[in-house]
Amino acid sequence: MASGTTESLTYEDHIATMAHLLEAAIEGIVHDIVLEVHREEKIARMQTAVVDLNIRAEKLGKTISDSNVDAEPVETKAAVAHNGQIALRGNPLKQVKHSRCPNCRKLRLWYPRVGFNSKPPPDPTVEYCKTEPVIILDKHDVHGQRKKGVKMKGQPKGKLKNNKLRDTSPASSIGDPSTPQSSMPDAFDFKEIDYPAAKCPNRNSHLGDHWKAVNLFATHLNGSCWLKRDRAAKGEANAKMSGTPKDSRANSPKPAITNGVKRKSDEKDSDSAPKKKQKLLDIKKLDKKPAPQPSKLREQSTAGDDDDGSVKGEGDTIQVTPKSVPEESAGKLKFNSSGVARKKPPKTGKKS
Amino acid sequence: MGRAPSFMPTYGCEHLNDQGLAKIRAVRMSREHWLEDLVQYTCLECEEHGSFSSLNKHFEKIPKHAFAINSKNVYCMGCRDMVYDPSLVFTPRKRKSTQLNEEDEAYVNANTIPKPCGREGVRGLFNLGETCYMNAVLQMMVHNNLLGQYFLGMGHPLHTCPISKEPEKKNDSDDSEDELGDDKDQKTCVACAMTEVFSDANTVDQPAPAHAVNLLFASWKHIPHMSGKQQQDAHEWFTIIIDKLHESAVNPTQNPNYKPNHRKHCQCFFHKVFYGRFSSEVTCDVCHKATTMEAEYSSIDLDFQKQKKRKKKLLKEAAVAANPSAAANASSKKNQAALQTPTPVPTLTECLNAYTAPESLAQESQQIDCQNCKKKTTAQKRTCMKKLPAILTMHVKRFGIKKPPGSTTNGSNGGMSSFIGTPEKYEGKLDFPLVLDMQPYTVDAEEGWYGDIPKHIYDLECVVVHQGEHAQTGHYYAFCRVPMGEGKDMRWFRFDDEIVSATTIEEVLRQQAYLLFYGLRDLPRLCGPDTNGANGDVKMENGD
Repeated sequence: MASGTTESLTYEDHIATMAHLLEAAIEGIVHDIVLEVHREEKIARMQTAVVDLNIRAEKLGKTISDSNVDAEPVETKAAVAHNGQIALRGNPLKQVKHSRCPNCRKLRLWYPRVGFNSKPPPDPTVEYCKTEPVIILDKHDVHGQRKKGVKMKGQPKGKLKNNKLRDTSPASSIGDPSTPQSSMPDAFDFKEIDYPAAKCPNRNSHLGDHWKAVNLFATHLNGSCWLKRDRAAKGEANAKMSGTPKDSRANSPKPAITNGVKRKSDEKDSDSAPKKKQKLLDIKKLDKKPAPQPSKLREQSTAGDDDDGSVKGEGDTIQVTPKSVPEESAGKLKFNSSGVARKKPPKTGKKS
Repeated sequence: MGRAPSFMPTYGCEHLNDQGLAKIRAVRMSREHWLEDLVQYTCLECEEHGSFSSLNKHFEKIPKHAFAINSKNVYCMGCRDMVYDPSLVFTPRKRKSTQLNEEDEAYVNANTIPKPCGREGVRGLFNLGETCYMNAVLQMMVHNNLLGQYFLGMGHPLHTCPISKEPEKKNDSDDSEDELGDDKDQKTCVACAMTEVFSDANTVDQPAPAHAVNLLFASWKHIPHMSGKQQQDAHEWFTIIIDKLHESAVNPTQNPNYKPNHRKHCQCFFHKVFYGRFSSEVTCDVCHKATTMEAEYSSIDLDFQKQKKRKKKLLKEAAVAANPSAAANASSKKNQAALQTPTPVPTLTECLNAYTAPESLAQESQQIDCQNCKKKTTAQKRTCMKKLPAILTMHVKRFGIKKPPGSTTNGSNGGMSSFIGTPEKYEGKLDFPLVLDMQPYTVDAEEGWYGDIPKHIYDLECVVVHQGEHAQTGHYYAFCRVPMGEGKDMRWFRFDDEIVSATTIEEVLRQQAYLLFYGLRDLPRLCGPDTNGANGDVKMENGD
């Protein structure tokens, strides 16, 4: 627009120009958004057409890339392979009513199984591609798992939602499930995230490998395994122990006894070995009842947990008790999405 | 565009052929005046353009004209739909592996398994016991493409790592029955542990979270003051861990000339990725002699509190200027004035402006010893970015020491020095952009382009948030973007230890960020085809 003509423009002209530009800009934005979805979907269908063609060719014992001109073409409803070239037939958005993963060739799910925007899988007996749409559900991760100890209100929320959706969902053009929907089992399994066991990297510790539940690892390393194994730390821990209120160690054996368990030498080492042995035996008997938490964890950890783990485990726990007892606080910790929560008096200048 | 996927038909639709594609390319080259921001499709054969319905009519009139195009897309009359031809949609990938001969390919196929399907890039990390500070930073690293290429491409020689190999032998020989605590000799390599985390986090076939036990252990060993089961500062850990990674990359055992402090021009991978350099120029007010100092940085500290105060002041002044009569009555109606100035939200650009703005060193405590004038003088200080890293880290200063109430008067601190203030956290929002142009803050602004590529454009990749009112306790979680689906569209996810959940970009921008990680946008193009190389030797000369 030349500057000379600007003056002759009226107010209405300006308004019209602005309206036009605004309209064009919005049109452009909408166009891009719509086209992005269209593109993704159409390319998925195009790929599906070719995957279907491949499957057909394999059934017939042919190869698609066969560039032999005389070979009979392999064809499906949506595509045809001839002379080493693959051509589409018609619009794949109309010809192909499903979507297959080009990687594993399994059918793709269009909607998550539960949660926001979910629909039950069209055919529950079919194994779908593992790349499913992400699940959006409160307190659950994208796989539909939840933290241990986090309860869902009543029975799975998804169940209700699914029922609603089943009623209202329009009969989609994407392959209607042959089985009646009402008989579909609500099979989604809301798993709790289990804490697996991991091998302790501190190979110098005690006897051979340690296997510990991952959520206790910092505690384990912090305790007798690595950081606090020297005498000073142990003394400090014991000193703290004696200062802690009784409640906090209700579940744990007495500190004096744990000293016996520790293999690292002590000042009290002079107090003869046989005495220790007796005590050791005592705890082993005692332990079985009053420490249900650790044993629970051990069940979840893999079988790699060694037999005398109980004694060692107790040793670890005890030393950290003054700071925080993870077994006790485990439930709270997990619920409190913060995973860490309150504790310990502040130390100078370090935030967490 | 993304990588060229397999299983595509030869042409985008049954009406397209080689001649048509050649023509589309030729027309696109010839028409230089594409209005990229406006939606306009033009007939391939003539200048006819308009909406799809008007184009349809045009095509019905002249059946030989069958395609309409714009700069990106093709509309096919025969299909009455947009068509996506593989040769137009996907840029061919430059790959070394295409040079493999058949024998090699057969060998590779026989010895590898195809990648399983699964939700990609959304694996959580177990909290090992107050390790959320580590997990949040790790998720950022795991989701960075460049670091992924380095670690997954064996940028760190996991199997021949000299740091972690030596003690292994020792351990094997004594059957790990070593009673005495000679663990000081046992070395654990941070980069080896990091490689493990990368490969674990990229496993897609199982939904269970991964864990970084080995990295935690390596980190405790290498950073004694941060070891132990306690909450730590994510920023502090990040700064130290990248330094440790740098050490592993430089590998002092093989580099006899290596000196820990001599890192002025370190060219290791991690320096290129995480470290920039800034120069601060101090000019004496008396003799105008400038002294320039250079230093490296791994993150830019943003003083958002200062900006908040400044903005609040400005807003108040503006309110007063706009309505002086109300200001006069403000003493009687205090609330009114308070209502007129809502809590201002400082922006990241404001903080950066303040960071690089000239600063007057006028106060007595700030004065410099000018070498030229041989006395204490006032001066001007100015900081500028000299070199920018591939991953630019912004650290929002949320933690500080609360001054005891008595020492608010900025004067004699003789008696007060013994008083240690309590750590406190500054809450409040800082507006941060999704796209950041660092060019205004760099020294050589005129060299800001590589051909047609702007080299200072950064995209937001990850936001780490600290949750909690206190400086010493709380929880960290991260927001990262993950490429999803065939189109590799970036989607945002919230990584809260084990739980990974989908979120929206609006939600991300609403966060009270603590750490912001920006990735250089055009890195792949700047680096050339070598980026895929297994040695992780990335060429980057950005900003220097």
